[in-house]
Parts: sequence; C-alpha cells; structure tokens
Amino acid sequence: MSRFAKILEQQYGIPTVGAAAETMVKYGTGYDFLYTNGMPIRYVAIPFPVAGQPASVHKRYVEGIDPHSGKPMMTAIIDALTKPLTEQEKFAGMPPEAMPEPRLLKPDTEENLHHLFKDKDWTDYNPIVLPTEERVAAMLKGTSHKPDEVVNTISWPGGARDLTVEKAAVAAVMAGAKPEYMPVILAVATQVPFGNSTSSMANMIVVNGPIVKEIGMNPGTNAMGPHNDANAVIGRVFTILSKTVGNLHSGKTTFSTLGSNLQYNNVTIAENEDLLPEGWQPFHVQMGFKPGDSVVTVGTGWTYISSVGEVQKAYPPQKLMRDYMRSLTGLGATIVMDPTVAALLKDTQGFNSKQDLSKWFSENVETTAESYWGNGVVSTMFASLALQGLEPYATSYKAPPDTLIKPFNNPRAIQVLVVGGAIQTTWFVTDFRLGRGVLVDDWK
Amino acid sequence: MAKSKAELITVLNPAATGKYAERVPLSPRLDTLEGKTLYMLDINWGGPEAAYSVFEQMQNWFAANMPSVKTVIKRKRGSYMVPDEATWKEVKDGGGDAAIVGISG
Repeated sequence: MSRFAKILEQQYGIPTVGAAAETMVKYGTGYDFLYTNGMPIRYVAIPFPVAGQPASVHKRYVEGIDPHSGKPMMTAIIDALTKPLTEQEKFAGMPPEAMPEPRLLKPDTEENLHHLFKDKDWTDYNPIVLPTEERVAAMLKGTSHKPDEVVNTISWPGGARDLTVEKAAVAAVMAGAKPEYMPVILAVATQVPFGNSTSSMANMIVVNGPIVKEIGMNPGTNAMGPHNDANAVIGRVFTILSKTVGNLHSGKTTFSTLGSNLQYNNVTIAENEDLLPEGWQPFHVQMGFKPGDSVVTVGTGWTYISSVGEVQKAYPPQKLMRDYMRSLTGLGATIVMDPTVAALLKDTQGFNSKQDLSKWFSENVETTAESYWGNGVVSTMFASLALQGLEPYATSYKAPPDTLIKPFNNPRAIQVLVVGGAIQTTWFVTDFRLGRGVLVDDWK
Repeated sequence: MAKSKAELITVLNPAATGKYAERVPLSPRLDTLEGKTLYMLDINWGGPEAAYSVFEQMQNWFAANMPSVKTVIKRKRGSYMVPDEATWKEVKDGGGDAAIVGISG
C-alpha cells in the first residue's frame, strides 16, 4: 500500500495519508520506509478488524482515536494532509549506508554464541550447529559454485539482501545438513523467503529426479514424517535462510497472526517416482523437465486435510477428495496421495494420467457462491475483479448465495503428487500452489 | 581431546547486509482541506466491504463537520497487490487535491 501512496505523492503531487492496521503502520514507518519505500509516508492507524464488521463499528473507529498519533482519527487525517513538512520529510537522496554485516562474528564461547543466535532470531529455536569456518568450508565442497556467488537477492520485505552460496552453506551447517545436500539447498535458496502473510501461510518443497536417491531422501513410508535426514534438514534450511538472510522476524517484518507449524520443515517431500502408475508422469516431467533432471519446486499454501482412513469401495477416492476440496479456497490445490491410491484411481476409476484427474476435479468440485466469497483471501484477491465485471468472478459474485460454482475451474492449478510407502490408501488434499521448478543440476 | 566450554571460537555471520532505499520527499501539504477534493482509495484488502465502509463513515463525518470538503470514494482496480495507474491518474484528472489510501492489514 505504501507504494501506492508514494506514486500519488511523487508522480502526481497529491498529499496522501496511508491508512493501515497499527502493526502495519509501525512496519510502514520503520522497516518499509528504511529499506523499501524511502518516502516518509504519513499514516493513521485504523483499529482492526475492519473486514466483517458492521458499519456501526466502522463509525466508532472513525469517531475514535488514531492509535498511531493519539489524536482523534479525523483530526489525524486532516493534520497528515495539511501540517507543513518537517526537514526529514523534505529530504531527498541516498541516506548513509546501513552498517554492513561482518562476515565473521566476534569470537565467543559456544554457549554465548548459541544464545546470540537465538537472541538475533536466526534459528527456528531447535538446536543448531554453529557455523565455524571449517564446517562451512566443508559444506561448500558440496557445490562447484563459488562462495561469493549471489544465488538470490531478497527484496521482499526490503533491503535487497544478497543470499550468497556461502550464506546458504552457513544455514546448511546450522540446520545440520550434509555437503551432498548443497545442490538441493541452493536450488531451494533461489526461492527464499517463505510465504509471508498475515493469513499465516506455509510452504511446500517438492523434490523430483535422480537427486532424491543420490542424497537419500525418503519418498516412501513415512515420507512426510520426521524419519529422514535429508527430508528434515532441507526444509529447515529454507526457514533459517528466510530469517537470517531474508531478515524475516516476527512482529518486525512478518505478521502471521497464527503462524504455521509447517514452517519448521516446509512440507518437504520427494515424489515416489518408482511407484507411479503407468502413464502418470513425475511432477517435474509434467512441468516440462526431462525425467533425468533433478528439480526442486516450491509452493505456498495454508492447509492440508487427510482422508484419515482407507478408501472405501462404495465411494471412490476422487469423490471423497472432491468433498474435502470444497473446504479449500479454490486458489489452487496439490493432492498428495499414496501410490496405492494412484493405482486405484487408474485401475478402477479410469484416470490414465494426473491431468485426467486434475480435469475431473476442475469440473466436479463445487461450492456455494456464498461460501466461496466468504473466504477473506478470495474476496481480497478477486472481489474487485468481479465488481469490474470480469468473468468468471462477476457472475458468481452476483449469484444467489446458494448457487453452486466451480472454484477450481483451472485444471492446471490442481497438481497431483504420489508420495508414500504403499501401505494404506491414504491421501491429503492441500491448498498449496506450486511455483516454477528450479533445476538442481545447475547448482552441483 | 574435548574442547573447553570456555574456549573462544569464531563463526560466520548468517545475516546479510541490507541496503537502504533512496529517500524521496513528501509532496507539499495543503494549507487547508476546506473547499478541496479528497479521494478515498480502497485498495481492496479484506474484500469489498472493509475499507469502503470505513471511507463511507469518513465521508459522513466530512458531510457533517466539514461540508465544503468534496469526498470521492473509489476502489482501485485489481487486488491490493497490483498497481493501478489508471486510478491514480483519475484522481489527478478528477481534480483530487488530497488522498487517503488503504486500508492495509
């Protein structure tokens, strides 16, 4: 929002006041101003929640106090638009450079350094391995890339921080990785930071190709549980890098109201390509990579729902998946299923490819217009498009509340992954939306 | 031989240096809002009945307390994440003297 205010001020010369929740005002006047926007936007803080409240509550907010300035809300707005600028508000140009982060920390005892890493919020609060020069040098042997090569410049939430190969190796040491994980970790590092939303997002990291076996990832029994070193550690590095290099810290640069336990591991999974039914392609091949390529794909989402028990003959798996998918937002989905479920879907239900199944979901998942638009993220993202008259949103937005609509109308936004040990016909439907794959081989 | 816990060790810094943004000044403020046109721009965060409804209450306040202020409520096009040059230009072309933009949560 601050960038919109900046455009109005800078390009059009229109005095503007930003209105936001108090936490966002603190962020806007602090971190966002320093590292991203550069304009000292004047704000008022609107009490929250705003969405879902009746007009009487909004009236109370407007007639009440602005928590940011302590003034009556409307006085604060008028003042923001009419009070002369301070010298700081007139300043143009580059500020003095930020204090550079030294490559090495001041020598200290192990105990004190462990405390420091926690005090700085550089960890996930599980034990870490301290990144000594020897350990980091050993980790760097896992890639041919030079330590100072920039893997990713992290510009959100600001600061254009360079994530170098060495910084990735530091995080890998902290998380307890082995050097052979480095190509996967560097591919993952290109996608840092983690999903950062007040709605409490998480991420999913999917690994495909020969690298799965090369580094001993587990795509089989207990693939999604805490039973394998590579599965556990690689996802952990993603969060540590988001906090160390990405500078994402709770209450400062990330404001997820509930947070997500999934961020400890970021749902890091390897597809069980050996047990795919005939005709079902590995996920990375679906996305245009070669079967022999090793690929990491990172997605964002919130939720997964389990079938809990075995598939029942009387109600084929795609129907129960469809029922459970009605609980998801419709922004996208990833279905994670045991190989036995995939085999059943092919052999007894006639789904000869993952694409067939995705198409079936896009045509058969239905929810009411009221329920679809009742989701805050859907409403935030798409209601304005509906009000502009853009389809398919406009029709469903105007429809009677109990009208059935198809929220997953794009089959390409529904992915299918086969994971697990072929022990029980269990599956998860999730709302994770997978991004573009990254070639691991480029980081060897 | 086990290391003494009191032994000092050197470790690498996991954090990276951030770069400050170039400072851009605010535009000059108005002498007064009396007789001016104030745009209230809904960025669509929280859906269509969030900021818009708050802005309606602000509009009511101006009508009651500063009736010479002309207020215009507009929703920007697209979600809160995408820019909307057409709306910003519309504010200028529509004679907008000042703006409130929000509400971000």
